[in-house]
Amino acid sequence: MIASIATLVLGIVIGYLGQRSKFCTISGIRDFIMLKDSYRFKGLIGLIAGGAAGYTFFYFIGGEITNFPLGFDFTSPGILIAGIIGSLGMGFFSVFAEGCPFRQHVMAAEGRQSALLYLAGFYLGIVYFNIVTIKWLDLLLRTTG
Amino acid sequence: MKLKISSYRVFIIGVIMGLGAALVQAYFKVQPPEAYGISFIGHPNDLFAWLTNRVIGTNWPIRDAFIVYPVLTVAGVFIGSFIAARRKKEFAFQPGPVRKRFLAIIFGFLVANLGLLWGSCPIRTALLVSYGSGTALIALASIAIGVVLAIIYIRFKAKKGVPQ
Repeated sequence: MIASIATLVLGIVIGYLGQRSKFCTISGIRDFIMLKDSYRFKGLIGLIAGGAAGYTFFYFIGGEITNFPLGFDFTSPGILIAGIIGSLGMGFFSVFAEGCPFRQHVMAAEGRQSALLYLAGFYLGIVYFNIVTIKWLDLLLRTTG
Repeated sequence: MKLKISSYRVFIIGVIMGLGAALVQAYFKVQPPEAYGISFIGHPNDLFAWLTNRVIGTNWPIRDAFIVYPVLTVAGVFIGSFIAARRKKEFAFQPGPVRKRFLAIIFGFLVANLGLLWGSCPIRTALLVSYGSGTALIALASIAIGVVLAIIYIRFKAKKGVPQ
Protein backbone atom coordinates (compact mmCIF):
# COMPACT_ATOMS: atom_id res chain seq x y z
CA MET A 1 0.00 0.00 0.00
CA ILE A 2 2.79 2.40 0.97
CA ALA A 3 4.60 1.73 -2.33
CA SER A 4 1.42 2.51 -4.31
CA ILE A 5 0.87 5.82 -2.51
CA ALA A 6 4.57 6.72 -2.84
CA THR A 7 4.48 6.15 -6.61
CA LEU A 8 1.29 8.23 -6.90
CA VAL A 9 2.84 11.15 -5.02
CA LEU A 10 6.13 10.89 -6.90
CA GLY A 11 4.17 10.67 -10.15
CA ILE A 12 2.25 13.88 -9.39
CA VAL A 13 5.49 15.71 -8.55
CA ILE A 14 7.43 14.56 -11.62
CA GLY A 15 4.36 15.03 -13.83
CA TYR A 16 4.04 18.65 -12.69
CA LEU A 17 7.77 19.35 -13.01
CA GLY A 18 8.02 17.45 -16.29
CA GLN A 19 5.24 19.51 -17.82
CA ARG A 20 6.77 22.80 -16.70
CA SER A 21 10.30 21.94 -17.87
CA LYS A 22 9.52 19.82 -21.00
CA PHE A 23 11.84 17.18 -19.54
CA CYS A 24 12.59 14.43 -22.09
CA THR A 25 15.54 12.06 -22.20
CA ILE A 26 15.30 11.23 -25.91
CA SER A 27 14.80 14.85 -27.02
CA GLY A 28 17.69 15.77 -24.73
CA ILE A 29 20.08 13.45 -26.58
CA ARG A 30 18.56 14.40 -29.98
CA ASP A 31 18.78 18.18 -29.44
CA PHE A 32 22.33 17.89 -28.08
CA ILE A 33 23.56 15.92 -31.10
CA MET A 34 21.44 17.54 -33.82
CA LEU A 35 21.20 21.17 -32.71
CA LYS A 36 23.99 21.47 -30.12
CA ASP A 37 21.26 22.53 -27.69
CA SER A 38 22.04 21.23 -24.22
CA TYR A 39 18.89 22.45 -22.38
CA ARG A 40 17.06 19.14 -22.14
CA PHE A 41 20.27 17.09 -22.10
CA LYS A 42 21.01 18.73 -18.75
CA GLY A 43 17.90 16.97 -17.43
CA LEU A 44 19.39 13.58 -18.25
CA ILE A 45 22.67 14.56 -16.60
CA GLY A 46 20.73 15.84 -13.57
CA LEU A 47 18.79 12.57 -13.38
CA ILE A 48 21.98 10.50 -13.29
CA ALA A 49 23.63 12.89 -10.82
CA GLY A 50 20.56 13.01 -8.56
CA GLY A 51 20.14 9.25 -8.70
CA ALA A 52 23.80 8.63 -7.89
CA ALA A 53 23.72 11.12 -5.00
CA GLY A 54 20.42 9.77 -3.68
CA TYR A 55 21.31 6.08 -3.84
CA THR A 56 24.72 6.70 -2.26
CA PHE A 57 23.32 8.91 0.51
CA PHE A 58 20.40 6.62 1.41
CA TYR A 59 22.70 3.58 1.23
CA PHE A 60 25.06 5.11 3.80
CA ILE A 61 22.31 6.26 6.17
CA GLY A 62 20.74 2.81 6.17
CA GLY A 63 17.94 3.03 3.59
CA GLU A 64 16.87 -0.07 1.68
CA ILE A 65 19.28 0.30 -1.22
CA THR A 66 19.98 -3.36 -1.94
CA ASN A 67 22.84 -4.71 -4.12
CA PHE A 68 24.34 -1.24 -4.44
CA PRO A 69 26.38 -0.75 -6.60
CA LEU A 70 25.14 -3.30 -9.13
CA GLY A 71 28.44 -3.48 -11.04
CA PHE A 72 28.56 -5.46 -14.26
CA ASP A 73 25.26 -7.27 -13.68
CA PHE A 74 25.62 -9.36 -16.82
CA THR A 75 23.54 -12.54 -16.45
CA SER A 76 23.35 -14.14 -19.90
CA PRO A 77 24.23 -13.32 -23.53
CA GLY A 78 20.52 -13.56 -24.43
CA ILE A 79 19.53 -10.83 -21.99
CA LEU A 80 22.35 -8.61 -23.25
CA ILE A 81 21.31 -9.14 -26.89
CA ALA A 82 17.64 -8.43 -26.08
CA GLY A 83 18.70 -5.38 -24.06
CA ILE A 84 20.82 -3.93 -26.87
CA ILE A 85 18.17 -4.57 -29.57
CA GLY A 86 15.42 -3.20 -27.33
CA SER A 87 17.20 -0.06 -26.21
CA LEU A 88 18.59 0.72 -29.68
CA GLY A 89 15.13 0.37 -31.24
CA MET A 90 13.52 2.35 -28.42
CA GLY A 91 15.97 5.23 -29.03
CA PHE A 92 15.40 5.09 -32.80
CA PHE A 93 11.59 5.10 -32.80
CA SER A 94 11.27 7.53 -29.89
CA VAL A 95 12.94 10.21 -32.04
CA PHE A 96 10.19 9.82 -34.65
CA ALA A 97 7.54 9.78 -31.92
CA GLU A 98 8.97 13.14 -30.67
CA GLY A 99 9.73 11.99 -27.14
CA CYS A 100 10.36 9.29 -24.57
CA PRO A 101 7.43 7.40 -22.97
CA PHE A 102 7.43 9.79 -19.98
CA ARG A 103 7.15 12.84 -22.26
CA GLN A 104 4.35 11.15 -24.22
CA HIS A 105 2.35 10.69 -20.98
CA VAL A 106 2.90 14.37 -20.14
CA MET A 107 1.93 15.53 -23.64
CA ALA A 108 -1.20 13.34 -23.52
CA ALA A 109 -2.21 15.12 -20.29
CA GLU A 110 -1.70 18.45 -22.13
CA GLY A 111 -4.20 17.30 -24.77
CA ARG A 112 -1.78 16.54 -27.60
CA GLN A 113 -3.62 14.23 -29.99
CA SER A 114 -0.68 12.28 -31.37
CA ALA A 115 0.53 11.59 -27.81
CA LEU A 116 -2.92 10.18 -26.97
CA LEU A 117 -2.74 7.97 -30.07
CA TYR A 118 0.84 7.01 -29.18
CA LEU A 119 -0.40 5.85 -25.77
CA ALA A 120 -3.16 3.82 -27.43
CA GLY A 121 -0.48 2.05 -29.47
CA PHE A 122 1.77 1.85 -26.40
CA TYR A 123 -0.80 0.01 -24.26
CA LEU A 124 -1.75 -2.17 -27.23
CA GLY A 125 1.98 -2.94 -27.48
CA ILE A 126 2.03 -3.98 -23.82
CA VAL A 127 -0.82 -6.43 -24.49
CA TYR A 128 1.00 -7.78 -27.56
CA PHE A 129 4.25 -8.15 -25.59
CA ASN A 130 2.60 -10.10 -22.80
CA ILE A 131 0.85 -12.43 -25.25
CA VAL A 132 3.31 -12.81 -28.16
CA THR A 133 6.72 -11.13 -27.78
CA ILE A 134 7.38 -12.66 -24.35
CA LYS A 135 7.31 -16.13 -25.97
CA TRP A 136 9.92 -15.09 -28.55
CA LEU A 137 12.02 -13.58 -25.78
CA ASP A 138 11.77 -16.81 -23.81
CA LEU A 139 12.88 -18.76 -26.89
CA LEU A 140 15.83 -16.39 -27.42
CA LEU A 141 16.92 -16.75 -23.80
CA ARG A 142 16.68 -20.55 -23.94
CA THR A 143 18.64 -20.68 -27.21
CA THR A 144 21.43 -18.36 -26.10
CA GLY A 145 21.58 -19.56 -22.50
CA MET B 1 20.81 35.58 -12.87
CA LYS B 2 17.25 34.75 -13.92
CA LEU B 3 18.54 33.38 -17.24
CA LYS B 4 21.05 31.19 -15.44
CA ILE B 5 18.38 29.70 -13.12
CA SER B 6 16.06 29.06 -16.08
CA SER B 7 18.84 27.37 -18.05
CA TYR B 8 19.62 25.01 -15.16
CA ARG B 9 15.98 24.42 -14.20
CA VAL B 10 15.75 21.17 -16.13
CA PHE B 11 19.01 19.98 -14.52
CA ILE B 12 17.56 20.64 -11.06
CA ILE B 13 14.34 18.85 -12.04
CA GLY B 14 16.45 15.87 -13.19
CA VAL B 15 18.20 15.89 -9.80
CA ILE B 16 14.81 15.99 -8.00
CA MET B 17 13.59 13.03 -10.09
CA GLY B 18 16.74 11.04 -9.29
CA LEU B 19 16.50 11.84 -5.57
CA GLY B 20 12.78 11.03 -5.55
CA ALA B 21 13.38 7.65 -7.22
CA ALA B 22 16.07 6.86 -4.63
CA LEU B 23 13.84 8.00 -1.74
CA VAL B 24 10.85 5.83 -2.69
CA GLN B 25 13.13 2.82 -3.01
CA ALA B 26 14.95 3.47 0.26
CA TYR B 27 11.96 4.16 2.53
CA PHE B 28 8.72 3.34 0.68
CA LYS B 29 9.36 -0.25 -0.46
CA VAL B 30 9.38 0.48 -4.21
CA GLN B 31 11.58 -2.56 -4.86
CA PRO B 32 12.51 -5.15 -6.07
CA PRO B 33 13.87 -4.73 -8.69
CA GLU B 34 16.56 -2.14 -8.02
CA ALA B 35 16.26 1.47 -9.24
CA TYR B 36 12.56 0.99 -9.97
CA GLY B 37 11.33 4.30 -8.52
CA ILE B 38 10.51 5.69 -11.97
CA SER B 39 9.98 3.57 -15.09
CA PHE B 40 7.72 4.46 -17.97
CA ILE B 41 7.97 1.01 -19.47
CA GLY B 42 7.88 -1.13 -16.32
CA HIS B 43 5.26 0.84 -14.36
CA PRO B 44 2.68 1.07 -17.19
CA ASN B 45 3.23 -2.65 -17.86
CA ASP B 46 2.78 -3.53 -14.17
CA LEU B 47 -0.34 -1.37 -13.86
CA PHE B 48 -1.85 -2.81 -17.03
CA ALA B 49 -0.96 -6.39 -16.01
CA TRP B 50 -2.40 -5.79 -12.50
CA LEU B 51 -5.67 -4.53 -14.01
CA THR B 52 -6.01 -7.32 -16.58
CA ASN B 53 -5.13 -9.98 -14.00
CA ARG B 54 -7.88 -8.63 -11.73
CA VAL B 55 -10.51 -7.94 -14.37
CA ILE B 56 -10.02 -10.68 -16.98
CA GLY B 57 -8.13 -13.18 -14.83
CA THR B 58 -4.93 -13.30 -16.89
CA ASN B 59 -1.66 -14.31 -15.29
CA TRP B 60 0.73 -11.69 -16.66
CA PRO B 61 3.91 -11.15 -14.66
CA ILE B 62 4.07 -8.17 -12.24
CA ARG B 63 7.18 -6.93 -10.40
CA ASP B 64 7.25 -8.05 -6.75
CA ALA B 65 6.68 -4.58 -5.26
CA PHE B 66 3.27 -4.19 -6.92
CA ILE B 67 1.58 -7.58 -6.78
CA VAL B 68 -0.98 -6.68 -4.09
CA TYR B 69 -1.48 -2.95 -4.72
CA PRO B 70 -0.94 -1.36 -8.15
CA VAL B 71 1.83 1.02 -9.15
CA LEU B 72 0.31 4.48 -9.65
CA THR B 73 3.13 6.52 -11.20
CA VAL B 74 1.30 6.76 -14.52
CA ALA B 75 -1.88 8.06 -12.84
CA GLY B 76 0.24 10.52 -10.82
CA VAL B 77 1.99 11.86 -13.92
CA PHE B 78 -1.35 12.36 -15.67
CA ILE B 79 -2.69 14.25 -12.64
CA GLY B 80 0.49 16.30 -12.12
CA SER B 81 0.96 17.35 -15.72
CA PHE B 82 -2.76 18.01 -16.19
CA ILE B 83 -2.73 20.33 -13.14
CA ALA B 84 0.40 22.09 -14.46
CA ALA B 85 -1.07 22.48 -17.95
CA ARG B 86 -4.40 23.81 -16.60
CA ARG B 87 -2.71 26.20 -14.17
CA LYS B 88 -0.60 27.72 -16.95
CA LYS B 89 -3.48 27.63 -19.44
CA GLU B 90 -1.58 25.25 -21.71
CA PHE B 91 -4.19 22.51 -21.78
CA ALA B 92 -5.88 22.22 -25.18
CA PHE B 93 -6.78 19.43 -27.55
CA GLN B 94 -4.37 20.08 -30.39
CA PRO B 95 -2.79 18.03 -33.17
CA GLY B 96 0.80 16.84 -33.18
CA PRO B 97 3.63 16.54 -32.52
CA VAL B 98 3.56 13.52 -34.91
CA ARG B 99 1.74 14.57 -38.07
CA LYS B 100 0.48 11.18 -39.25
CA ARG B 101 -1.91 9.76 -36.66
CA PHE B 102 -1.45 6.14 -37.70
CA LEU B 103 2.31 6.46 -37.29
CA ALA B 104 1.87 7.71 -33.71
CA ILE B 105 0.04 4.47 -32.86
CA ILE B 106 2.74 2.37 -34.58
CA PHE B 107 5.54 4.21 -32.75
CA GLY B 108 3.82 3.67 -29.41
CA PHE B 109 3.36 -0.02 -30.18
CA LEU B 110 7.01 -0.46 -31.21
CA VAL B 111 8.46 1.51 -28.29
CA ALA B 112 6.42 -0.54 -25.79
CA ASN B 113 7.64 -3.84 -27.26
CA LEU B 114 11.26 -2.76 -27.64
CA GLY B 115 11.30 -1.13 -24.22
CA LEU B 116 9.90 -4.24 -22.57
CA LEU B 117 12.53 -6.30 -24.38
CA TRP B 118 15.16 -4.30 -22.46
CA GLY B 119 12.84 -3.93 -19.46
CA SER B 120 13.29 -0.20 -18.83
CA CYS B 121 12.51 3.22 -20.23
CA PRO B 122 15.34 5.75 -20.80
CA ILE B 123 14.65 7.29 -17.35
CA ARG B 124 15.05 3.99 -15.49
CA THR B 125 18.06 3.15 -17.66
CA ALA B 126 19.67 6.40 -16.46
CA LEU B 127 18.67 5.54 -12.87
CA LEU B 128 20.25 2.10 -13.26
CA VAL B 129 23.44 3.77 -14.53
CA SER B 130 23.48 5.89 -11.37
CA TYR B 131 22.92 2.64 -9.43
CA GLY B 132 26.21 1.43 -10.91
CA SER B 133 24.83 -1.04 -13.46
CA GLY B 134 27.24 -1.91 -16.29
CA THR B 135 24.48 -3.47 -18.41
CA ALA B 136 22.42 -0.26 -18.11
CA LEU B 137 25.44 1.73 -19.30
CA ILE B 138 25.53 -0.43 -22.43
CA ALA B 139 21.75 0.06 -22.83
CA LEU B 140 22.04 3.85 -22.42
CA ALA B 141 24.78 3.89 -25.06
CA SER B 142 22.51 1.79 -27.31
CA ILE B 143 19.65 4.29 -26.82
CA ALA B 144 22.03 7.11 -27.82
CA ILE B 145 23.15 5.11 -30.89
CA GLY B 146 19.48 4.58 -31.79
CA VAL B 147 18.91 8.34 -31.57
CA VAL B 148 21.98 9.01 -33.76
CA LEU B 149 20.75 6.49 -36.37
CA ALA B 150 17.36 8.24 -36.41
CA ILE B 151 19.07 11.63 -36.91
CA ILE B 152 21.13 10.20 -39.79
CA TYR B 153 17.94 8.83 -41.34
CA ILE B 154 16.13 12.18 -40.95
CA ARG B 155 19.06 14.06 -42.52
CA PHE B 156 19.25 11.54 -45.38
CA LYS B 157 15.51 11.94 -46.06
CA ALA B 158 15.81 15.74 -45.84
CA LYS B 159 18.63 15.72 -48.38
CA LYS B 160 16.47 13.74 -50.78
CA GLY B 161 13.62 16.17 -50.18
CA VAL B 162 11.17 13.58 -48.85
CA PRO B 163 8.78 15.01 -46.23
CA GLN B 164 8.89 13.30 -42.80
